[in-house]
Order: sequence, then structure tokens, then C-alpha cells
Amino acid sequence: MRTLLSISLMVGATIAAVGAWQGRADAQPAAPSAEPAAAPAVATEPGAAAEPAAVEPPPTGAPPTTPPAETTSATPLGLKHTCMAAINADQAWTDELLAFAQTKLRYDAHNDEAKLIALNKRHVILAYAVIWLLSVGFLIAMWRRQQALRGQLESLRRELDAAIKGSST
Amino acid sequence: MKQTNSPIVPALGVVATLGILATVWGVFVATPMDRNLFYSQKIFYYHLPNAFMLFLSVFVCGIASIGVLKRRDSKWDDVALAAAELSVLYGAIVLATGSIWARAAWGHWWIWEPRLMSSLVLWLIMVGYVLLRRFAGPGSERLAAGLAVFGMVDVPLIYYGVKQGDAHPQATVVQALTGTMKLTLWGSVLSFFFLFLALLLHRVQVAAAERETRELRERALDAGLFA
Repeated sequence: MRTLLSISLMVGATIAAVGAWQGRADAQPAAPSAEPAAAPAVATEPGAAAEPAAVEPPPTGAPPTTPPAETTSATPLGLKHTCMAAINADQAWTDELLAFAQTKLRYDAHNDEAKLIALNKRHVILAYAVIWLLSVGFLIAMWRRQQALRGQLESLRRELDAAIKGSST
Repeated sequence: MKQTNSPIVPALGVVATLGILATVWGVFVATPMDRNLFYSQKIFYYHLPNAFMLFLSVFVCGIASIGVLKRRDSKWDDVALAAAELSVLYGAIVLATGSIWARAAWGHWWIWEPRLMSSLVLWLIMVGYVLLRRFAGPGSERLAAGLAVFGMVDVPLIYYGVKQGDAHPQATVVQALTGTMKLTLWGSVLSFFFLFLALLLHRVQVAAAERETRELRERALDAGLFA
């Protein structure tokens, strides 16, 4: 029974650990996604920008506009708006960037994903850890059972000795 | 407890340990990466031998249980109990490693396909056997023996379930093995077989010693020694 309890406990602990690990893995930033064109899309879809834009970029193909003074500063937001304005001003450049995103970046993302799947060591390590944990748990349970048996034998021997001594007197 | 001093169990344990160490080298160094399942295929080298040992322990338990039912011999009962506990261990390993491999290969921890379902049912039957032996009290041997025979019938269903077009990968993985891969797999099967034998013999000895201790105490009580 100790064996069974030990195994059940270890299976439970393993499932909990896997669950926690999986949850952590899910919470981590994902590997390169299958939609790598998201960043350049800012240039063509200004409304889809991740953060609220302080300045509405001009529509694609519109003549270059001068960004407001606060966005021309060397802050990340200012630089971003400067870049967006420059990209939107040049339709050929926009097309070139989009083509790059849809070919090279997508290819790289695919490659990264494939590498993650091909060299999936964490599941292999987890599987082998489970095998050894359960086996060692079983061995420990068996050893403890043997120790308990040894104790029972000792107690039986003492009781027998006492009983024999009592009957002889 | 005389049998506990037998050198067979330690010898089998040493052979199994050496074999398993060799297979670890074979799995992670000698074998190439599988073309379809990539690195996660390396789980297979230990998953399949443990599945074989699960089947073997269930068979041993079933056959010993038939001995219990026919001859009412307590030695058969010791073997059946030892094999049942081992089947619970191997079942837990097979289900856990299979689930991890399924996550790596299919993207799911579990899918409701015939082989997985029947393996789970088999494991639950063997857990039921051990619980019955623990909690049902004296006379539960024969009831548990019937359950073990029922579990033994489940083994061919699991084995042939893979040939009926289910989604389990083993049907294709075994065929795709090359020379080193086959050697590593069968070396692993052999090593786990020796480990199974060592554990089974040791557990049988402990079960026999527990039974003898219990019987001695009962005889001493009947003789009025512990009044």
C-alpha cells in the first residue's frame, strides 16, 4: 500500500509540476510567431498600432508631413513616429518592407519554430525524469516495507522470548 | 527470509543497471535523430520497454491468479501481488511518458484514442487489484484474482488496438528504426526485463516473508503464547 501511495503521490506531484511548468511556459514571451509582419503593418495600418499614437500618421502614399515638435525628439515614441512618417511617405519602400516581412521574416519564424520542435529537449528530459522518479520511489517504498518487516520480526521474536520465559517460570 | 540472501536478485539488479546505463548512452549519443518525430522520439526507447514490462507484469499476475483460483496456494498469491504492484508502477510510467510524448508529438497531453483508453483502463484495473488486496481483508485473494484475470484479457486488446488504424505513433515508429536504433531499443527492452525480474523476485520474497510472519503470529496466538 505504501508503494501505491508513493506512486500516487509522485504522479500527482509530477502532474502539478508539469502544469506549473506549462503555465510558466505559456506566460513567457512566445517564440517568433507565425505572423511576423505585425511590426511593419504599423506603417500601413496606423489604427492597429500597439500603443495609442499621439499623432495620426498620414495615409499611405500621402506626401510627407512634418511631425509635431514633441515627436521629433529622441524619445522612442518620437523616433517611431519619425520612422512611420518616412515609411508612409515612400510607397515603394513600404512595399519593399512588407515583402521582406512576408518572405524573409516569415521564413525565419518558420525556421525557429521548426528548430524548437526538432530539438525539443524539455519533453524528453521530463519523460526521463518521470521514469527515474517513479522507479526510485518504488525502490524506496520497497526498502521501507522491508524495514517494517524487519521490525515486525524483531517484535515477534521479543514476544516469543517473553512468552517462553513466562511459561518456563 | 532465507531467500532474501539469494545472490540472484543483486546479480539481476547489477546487470539491469549496467544495461540501462548502456542504453542511456545509446539513446543520447549513438542513435541518430528520427526524421519524423525528431528529438522527442528518444522518449520511445524507454516508453516501449516499460509498456512491454507492464504487459508482462499483468500476464504474470493473471497467470499466478489462475494458480490462486485453481490451487489456492499462497505462493501463487505472493507472485500475483508482487506482479500487480509492479504493473501499477509500469502503468504509471507508461501513461506519464506517453502523455509527455503525446504533448511533444501531437501537441496534446491526452487524446481519447483506443490504445490510450485501454491502457488507462488496464492500469485502473491493476490499481483496483492492489486496493482490493489492501482493504478488502482476509479472503480478498480470490476476488482480486478474478480481477487480475480480467486485466490480463485487456492486454491483447491494447496490443492489437494499434493495428486497427488508431492514431498511436508506435505503428510507424518501429518500422522507421535503423540499425543503431533497433539495437538500442532491444537493449533497453532486455535491461528493463532484467530490472523487472529483480524487482519481481525481491517483491515476492518480501511478500512471502510478510505472509510467514503473519502466519507465525497467528499460530503463536492460537497456541496461547501471546495470551
